[in-house]
Amino acid sequence: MSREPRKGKRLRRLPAVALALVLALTVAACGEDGAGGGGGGEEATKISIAYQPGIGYAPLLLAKQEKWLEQGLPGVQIEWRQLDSGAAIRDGILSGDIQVGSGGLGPFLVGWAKGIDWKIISTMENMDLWLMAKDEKYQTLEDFKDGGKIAMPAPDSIQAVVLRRAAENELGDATALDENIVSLGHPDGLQALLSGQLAGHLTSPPFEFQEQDKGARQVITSYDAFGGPHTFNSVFMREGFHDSNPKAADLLAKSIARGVAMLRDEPKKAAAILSEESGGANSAKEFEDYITNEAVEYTTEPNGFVKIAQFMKEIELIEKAPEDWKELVFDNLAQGNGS
Amino acid sequence: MPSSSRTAEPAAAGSGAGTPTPGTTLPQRDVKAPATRGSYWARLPVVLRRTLLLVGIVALWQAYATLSDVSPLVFSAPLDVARALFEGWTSGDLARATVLTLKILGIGMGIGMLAAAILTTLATWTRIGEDVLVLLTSMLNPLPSIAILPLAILWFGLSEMALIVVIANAVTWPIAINVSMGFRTVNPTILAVGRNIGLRGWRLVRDVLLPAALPHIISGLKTGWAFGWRTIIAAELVFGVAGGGGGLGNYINKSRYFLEIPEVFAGLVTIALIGIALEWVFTLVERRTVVRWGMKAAT
Repeated sequence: MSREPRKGKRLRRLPAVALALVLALTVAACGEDGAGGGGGGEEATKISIAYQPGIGYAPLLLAKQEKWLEQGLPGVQIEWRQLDSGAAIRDGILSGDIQVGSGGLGPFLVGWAKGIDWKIISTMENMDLWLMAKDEKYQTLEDFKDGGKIAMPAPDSIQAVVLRRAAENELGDATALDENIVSLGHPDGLQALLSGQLAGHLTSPPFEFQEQDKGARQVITSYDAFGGPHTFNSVFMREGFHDSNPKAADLLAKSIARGVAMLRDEPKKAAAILSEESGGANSAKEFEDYITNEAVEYTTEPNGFVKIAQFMKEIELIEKAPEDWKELVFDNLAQGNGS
Repeated sequence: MPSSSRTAEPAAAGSGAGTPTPGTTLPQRDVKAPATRGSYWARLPVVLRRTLLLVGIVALWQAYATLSDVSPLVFSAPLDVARALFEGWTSGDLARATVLTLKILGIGMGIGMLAAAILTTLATWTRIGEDVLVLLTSMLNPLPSIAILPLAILWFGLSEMALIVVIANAVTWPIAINVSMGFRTVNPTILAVGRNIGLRGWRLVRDVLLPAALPHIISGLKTGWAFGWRTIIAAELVFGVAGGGGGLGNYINKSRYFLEIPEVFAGLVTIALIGIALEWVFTLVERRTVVRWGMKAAT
């Protein structure tokens, strides 16, 4: 800002400005490389897989704990990362940091509609997502019109879609409770609800079960809102990565199917592995209760994609919706049943 | 020295009010005139120089976005950003977010300034007050205020109150440090002169201490505002919703959730523009006070 009294100094500023510009452009160029990094023509030597908290990711967690991918892909470094929201995982995939993402349909569809070239390699389960409340004041959705905060992972999460669907069904206006939404990861939301800082928490298993055990109750359920069971979490990757890593993609789909089969057929064994994976945070008995709860059904069959996507388009969360669920998935999944 | 510079006031008043013309108060600036030979660039008016630079940067930005095949999902061209800015301001979304952010920042800064005023007053009058101030500032000033956000949420809930507390904490300490430094470095001779002509108590503070410490006070306010501004944007980014509709940080975050990258840039540009506007306000204040009194070189 200050005027330089001598001209020598002024001249010396020129190279500095030039340097700053070059640096800025270099940084931007690096970002571009990273963004394209999901594609690439060669087989990856390092695969970063991102998931979120909750037993909706149990098939992936089994693969992680039992090292199914590491064993099947010698020479490939597998990195497991837990992130708090689908949007964070999407950012990671866009920047090229993460190759395989997992999460609810919301962030996936937002990215798909915006033109990210990604598809789903496998879904993991149908799950009933509950809006939990602890304060007696909140018995129905109507009661939240007083502005009581409702936490969920993000404004684009599947939980946000569920809230709007329910708001449209019960209050006649999908956006009636938009101002109430607070973004919190599931574990933080659980703490906040139980300590009385939140009116409601729209979450997922096992957090909704834990909240129920601590005296919270269901206000709405996603199965009611959408008129039946629907997919909760999927595993997805960019087409470029899929095409240049066929072996890894195939093994990933098979590992998830293997995990799903174990969760259905040998829940005791799966629960023991999950407890081990959690470092003992929850006992095998607790995990067994969670994965056998009737709000949880492990399956690789896509369910309700079109229904959810079209509702998201209707309320303008996304600009286009698929006509057919097969537009959203890779061939391996498209051959099976789904909706 | 306030007393001697006051006499120069009428002379500087005319030129100091509007344009950044050379004042009469700073003799060294007269040296500048012969030194401008050579560089054409330096001879251009400030406004033109900066406008040209800005245009150049935007042109490079647009060129990069057009010529490289960078994905619009990670980078936006200035034209898209301009459109997002226009739509954001005409639809009222950006205006609402900006007003909310500035409101919370204003309240937080008000509380912070009041706290700083009380602390520094006590520190100037009493020894224990000074000890308290030194201890508190040395403990709390190095702490990034955003670090207390989790605690503030726990204590005050997910409300604007939590944000206001964090902002107040962010601005109190830099202001208190600067103001108390200003008071402590007042020339003792001036203070003695003030006492000698019978000033004491509030009048001594108002007529001698405050004007003499004004350069420090202004730089304290500048630092405080910068801390507060950064903190509130960061807090809104972490926080999600700042109660009501959400402020600028929340606008950026929400746009990011829905991959509206031009809107993310529009939010950033708005933040930068407000920064420039505030800087300009501070410059005006300085020009009318400390620069005119000859305590600081013009900028």
